[in-house]
Amino acid sequence: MTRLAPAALLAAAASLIFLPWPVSAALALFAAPAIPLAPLALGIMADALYFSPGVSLVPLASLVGAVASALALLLRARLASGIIAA
Amino acid sequence: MAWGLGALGIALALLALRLAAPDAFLSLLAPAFAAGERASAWIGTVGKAAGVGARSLAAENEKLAAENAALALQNQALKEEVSDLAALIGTSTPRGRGIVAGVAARPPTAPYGTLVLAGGTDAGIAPGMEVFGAGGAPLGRVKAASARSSRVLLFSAPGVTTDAWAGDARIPLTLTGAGAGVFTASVPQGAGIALGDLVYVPGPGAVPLGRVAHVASTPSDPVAALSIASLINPFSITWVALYEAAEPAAP
Repeated sequence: MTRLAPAALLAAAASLIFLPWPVSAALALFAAPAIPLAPLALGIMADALYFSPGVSLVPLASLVGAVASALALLLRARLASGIIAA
Repeated sequence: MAWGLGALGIALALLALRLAAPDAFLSLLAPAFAAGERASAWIGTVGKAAGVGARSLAAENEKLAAENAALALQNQALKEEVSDLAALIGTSTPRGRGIVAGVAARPPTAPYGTLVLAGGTDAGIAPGMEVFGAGGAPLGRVKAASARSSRVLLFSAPGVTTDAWAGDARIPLTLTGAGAGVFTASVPQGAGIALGDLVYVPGPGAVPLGRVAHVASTPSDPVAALSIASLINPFSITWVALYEAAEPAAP
């Protein structure tokens, strides 16, 4: 999974234009364990492409990406400390 | 971590470009949007050919041609009726010239239930304009416009509410967008709305917006939940017509 994460990140970035947004979201979540900042980066990219203040109250993609990245970083820290403790 | 920081840097650079020079941003991405549209159309064509077969395609084609002919006749009859009524009543406000714009991005590629149009203030598009699809079916309103691009919020976008009425009895209801060209609404039990009833919104006369696709009710429930499907599939919109918003009728 770690080796496929960069490819998933690039595919997710391209899919923002070519494929439905749930595909991009799924690829971002797939890349998240190895690249925790991927969901945040892709959320910001999606909002740069499609968000406008009149169409939505908040930039939801960026917010959800930030939450997913925070969870991925937390998970990574927990796993790392778990491995060290072991 | 290097990949993540690199991706974040690129994302922030794109955001800065979008904020500083929105039209340069869209010009940069226009070839990519066009390629995406061609790819989607090709995938759709291949999928249909693989799943359906030549014989079924021919039968479907014949059926669609017959439906098209019938609709053209019906349309003509309705035009005549409108013309007669306008002459009888003596009031007929012709609609102003519209603007035609191509769609650069649409659902499900574009989130938030929006369309990104390849036309903006340079073409006369302004926030608040009403947007219509093929056949004059209303789609939404322009929410933001820059010099060469604009964004349309579809009536079917999640959470958007629209006043409408349904059926021949013109039963009033409030549509709530549920995304993907679907609306929901609630009506009192026994209101008389049936599957297939047309749903209209205010416009020049009564403008059909969708059709009742599902009625969910139980005898003990005081309300019936409706699902309404838009007459136009938002996933396949390629061009739209824009008009200034109609002024409310004088009392």
